[in-house]
Order: sequence, then C-alpha cells, then structure tokens
Amino acid sequence: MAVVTALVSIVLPGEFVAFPDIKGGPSAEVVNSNCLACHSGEMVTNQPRLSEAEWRAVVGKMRATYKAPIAESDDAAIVAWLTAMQQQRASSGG
Amino acid sequence: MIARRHLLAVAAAGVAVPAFAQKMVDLGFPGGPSARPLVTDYPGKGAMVLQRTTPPLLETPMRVFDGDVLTPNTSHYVRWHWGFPVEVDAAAFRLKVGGHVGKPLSLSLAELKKLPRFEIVAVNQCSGNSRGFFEPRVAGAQWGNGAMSNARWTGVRLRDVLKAAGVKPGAVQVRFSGLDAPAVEAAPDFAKSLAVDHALDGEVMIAWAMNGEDLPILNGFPLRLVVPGWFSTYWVKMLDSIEVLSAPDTGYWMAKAYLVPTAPGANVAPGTREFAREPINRMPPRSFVTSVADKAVVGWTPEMKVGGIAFGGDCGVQRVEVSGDGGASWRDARLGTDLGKYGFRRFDGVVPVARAGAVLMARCTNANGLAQGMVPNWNPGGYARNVVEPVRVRFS
Repeated sequence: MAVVTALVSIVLPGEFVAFPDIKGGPSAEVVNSNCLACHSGEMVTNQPRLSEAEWRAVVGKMRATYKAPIAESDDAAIVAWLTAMQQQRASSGG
Repeated sequence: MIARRHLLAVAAAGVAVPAFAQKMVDLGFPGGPSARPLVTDYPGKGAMVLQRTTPPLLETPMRVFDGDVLTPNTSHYVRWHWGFPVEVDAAAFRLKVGGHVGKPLSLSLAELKKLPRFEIVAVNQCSGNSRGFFEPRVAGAQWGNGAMSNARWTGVRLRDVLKAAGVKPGAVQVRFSGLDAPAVEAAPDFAKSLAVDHALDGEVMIAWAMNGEDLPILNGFPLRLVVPGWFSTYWVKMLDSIEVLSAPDTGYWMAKAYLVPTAPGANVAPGTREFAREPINRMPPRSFVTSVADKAVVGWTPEMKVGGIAFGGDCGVQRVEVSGDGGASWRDARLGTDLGKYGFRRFDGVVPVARAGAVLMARCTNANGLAQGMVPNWNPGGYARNVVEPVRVRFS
C-alpha cells in the first residue's frame, strides 16, 4: 500500500561559526565548547555592555534554567572572555 | 546546485558576521552594538535583519512597513526559542487535544479543515520587540522595532476544537505546545497557557494560513495559535499539542519567563528587581513613522508628509497624531483602511518642519482611550515597550 506523504521542508543557512580569540587576551576555546550548542554566536556578541556580575548571572541561567552542561569550573574563563570581548569592542569604537 | 560556502568574516571587534550577509543595517541602539547583517538566505524570506542564525531570530526591516499594511509573508519576522523540524509531513501530522476533556482528539489537517472557517487580521508582535532601545539596556534578544508583523490569518476557532473535545467542568487553563524542542532534554520545553475563558472567546484561533498561503515553516507550519491583541509569546508555532488543565500551569514559560510588572504600562523604575509580576498579556498601542527612515537626509519644504502604521494593541485605533517638532505640537493624521481592530492601520499626515531639522513622531490613542506615552517604560525583561518613537530627519 502506498504511503501518502506531504513533505514540506526547508534548508536553513548557518554553519558552525566559532568565536574568535581575543588578541592579547583570553582564548575562545572555553566559549566555543560551552556556548554554541544551543545558539549561534550572535546571541552573545549582540548583547549590550554587561558587567562581569551580569555575565556571570547569564552563564548561571544557561546552566540552571536551560540545563546547558557547563562545568562551574569553566565559569571564570567564560566570563573573562565575554568581558574581554566587550572591552575590546568598546575600545575599538564598536 | 553548488553548495554555498558560509565563511566567517571576523570584524576587529570580535563580532562574527556570517559570509551570507549582504549588507549591514544600523538599528541605533544606545551604546550599541547596533550593526546587524541584512540577509536573504532564509527560505521563503526576502531581506531580513539577522539577529541570530540559530535558532533563527529574523527581524522585519522597517521600510517594509511603509508598504501594504498586511506584511508580506516573505518579510514576516521570525522568532524561535529552540530548534524545530525543518521537515514536516503534513499528511502524517496530528494535532492532539487532551487533558481535562471528555473526548481526547488527534486531528489530521484535513479533519481540522472541516470545522467552520475563521479569518482575522492581527498584529503578531514579540514581547521583546524594541528591547534594544531600553535604557538602561537589558540582556535578551536585542530587537529593533521590527519584531512585529501583520497578517490575515486563516484557520478555525480554538473554541470549535475545544468544544469537539468537550472541556470538562473545573478546567482553568489551556496549554499549548509545538514541535520545537530544547537541545538539552532536561531544559524546559516551550509551552504557553491561556485562561479557559480566553481560549473559548471565539477569537483565539488555530491558523494554517497567513495572507492566503500556508504558513512558512519559519512561521510555524503547519499550524500556529493566533491570539489577537496579545503578545506573540502565546502564538505557539508548529502547534501539535493542546492540553486542558484543571490547575494553573506552573511550567517555566508561564511561571518564570515572560513576566512583566503588574504596574501600569509594565513599568518600574530602571534598575528595580523586586516588584509584583504577572505573565505578559495584552498589547498596548504603538505607532511608527515609516515614510522616512530615522537619521535620513531629505530636501526641505516647510511642510512634510508623515506616514506610517499604528495599532491599538488589544483594541482598535481611535486616533493617530503626528508631530514634526519632537512632540511640542501635534496634528491629527488621516487613518487608512480598517482591516480589523487587531491589525495595522495606515496613517498619513502633514506637519510643519523647521529648516534646522525635524524630529518626527506619531502617537496612537487606542479605542479604549489609552495613548502612547512620551516617557519609555522600563522593566528588567525588556518587554512591552510602547513609547512614542522619534524619527530624526536632517534637511539638505
């Protein structure tokens, strides 16, 4: 018996795009391994200037609420990259 | 077909720009970053402002709103919390209706389409539309003003579906969920609830078409909930599950997320964290000047045409006034065709403008007498902005 299907499908753009290392600053390895499984990088780079405490709260929310498997021992390095990324942007006039 | 290479261009500031970006637009956020790529690579979509590639957040460019009041499907904004199927078998699809009902249902699209047809024009607006303009800034999707679109929705009344299932006495809410799913299993699946009386009001509907065409996958094919007058967080996409509840929904997306101050205008003093909260609900009135872009340079004439779109939120538009001097003086604008109280309404007016430059404004008063304010609201979620927005124009 024929199986009737009515497939509707699309192809989404967007391959994995890694965060860059910060020149003279922290490596992006820790954000690349922790912060790109659920969302692409613009969610991070589009944020307004956030304080270290605000970034720490964001990382905590990703773990506690959205169950991102982020080791607490990675938090300091993640927040260091996030704040360095925003500092570099501010100093380059962006 | 040659596979397109999506190489990464990294700006000096560490902002990743996909190689499929055609050009950048500036959304003008206080303190930035405001530059976003304008992309045409999303299936079924024209040029869209790219907020996030995955899961997609695509904003409608403001100039689109200067066209037809029904936003073309190719420009209708896109917002997903989680990943979603990029392939749907419409023949195998079933909408399940269960919970506190007499007769649980599993409806094919063909069965659903046998119910009486219902149509309504309604604005679909993200709760966080315009969040990027909040001062002080708040974290979250940094939308400009384009996380909204207007469409004619076709489908069936939710009431008719719930009646077929037989809502049992004692039902208090109805919960809606779709085919999207979190990347991590333990994370909260997206689900939203409405009070049972609201669900049965005859306006809340299940739509399969917008502007006469099947919903695009990006906007929720094959079915989405349409909740006229309410923010889009309730307009669940790829709707496949309706559950009648006998106790209030205590899930994350109702109890913790999308909460606003109960204070009028969802407004608390900037920085306030402790206040009475409630789930976001009805939309307030808004209006946007679209006939000229913010920061445009145009030729001067003593009087200038000002046009745009307004919507009343949870009721119709009573009046739109326009100003050329930043709100010091106002004139009534002429209202365009009324396609229904929940939709966009075109307005056109003429204002005197000074040679030195103009700050154009529009102010909508809705049918309930609620007018847009001149002072922005603030809340930590960045929700429900509806202040009068300035469009600054210089003259050559």
